[in-house]
Amino acid sequence: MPPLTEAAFGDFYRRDARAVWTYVYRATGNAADADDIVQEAFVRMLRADVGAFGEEDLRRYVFRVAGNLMADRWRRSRRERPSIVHEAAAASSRTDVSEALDVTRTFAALKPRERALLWLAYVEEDTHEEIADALGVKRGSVKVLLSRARARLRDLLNLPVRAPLRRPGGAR
Amino acid sequence: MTNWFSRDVTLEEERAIVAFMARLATMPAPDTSMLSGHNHIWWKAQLLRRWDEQRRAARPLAAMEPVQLVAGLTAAALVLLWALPSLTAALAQVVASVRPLA
Repeated sequence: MPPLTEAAFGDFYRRDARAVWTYVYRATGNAADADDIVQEAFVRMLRADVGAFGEEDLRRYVFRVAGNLMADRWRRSRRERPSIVHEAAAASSRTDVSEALDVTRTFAALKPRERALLWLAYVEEDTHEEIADALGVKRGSVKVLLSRARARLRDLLNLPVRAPLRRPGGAR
Repeated sequence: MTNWFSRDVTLEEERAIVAFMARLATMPAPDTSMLSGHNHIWWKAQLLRRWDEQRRAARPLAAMEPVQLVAGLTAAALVLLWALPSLTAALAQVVASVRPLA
């Protein structure tokens, strides 16, 4: 198999790293964790024999590794809550800040796996098979897990959750 | 486009979920990311690959170490067994030559 060249990897990374990062960030709610996980996912991709993979296969591979790494972290620490303070800094106006915090608080109230499931289903528009692959769960379980996640989000949208703000120092 | 409609949420609720997720997807992510450049990741992966290859190459040597030890000890035991009659005879000769002097 011909190895992936540095130039080809550079193009792939520039094009897809941000999408992977946003997925991991939305699922973990922590920018520092997202940085670590995305870097590790790309390093693992390069260490594997992926020379014959097409662009879409590489993308799926990185999402899968990132999903597995997130699952490992969730197993280690079930108490983590996402930091939402940076959302305010990213918004441009006061209305945007308020809306961004509402949206982020609502999403943060879901469990990490539910966030990842919903992101893959609605934003990445993955199939059940792809979601199962990305999160390391059985294909038959995806439909049930996704159904629960959607029901939880529906409930949260009817009754917005007010999570306490974290101090900026506690964000990393 | 994937169709995620199912019986547990109404069409209206599904629309609200889709709109919510679309809003979340378009929200600017915080600019606090310290994501490494592709060069850093590329070279880190190359170093780790090289290390993997070295470990793979050295694996048979490491696996043979206990075999070497067992083979050495067995050979030493066999030599000792083979030489034991001669050693006993030599020792008896030495003892016999020392006794008249005493």
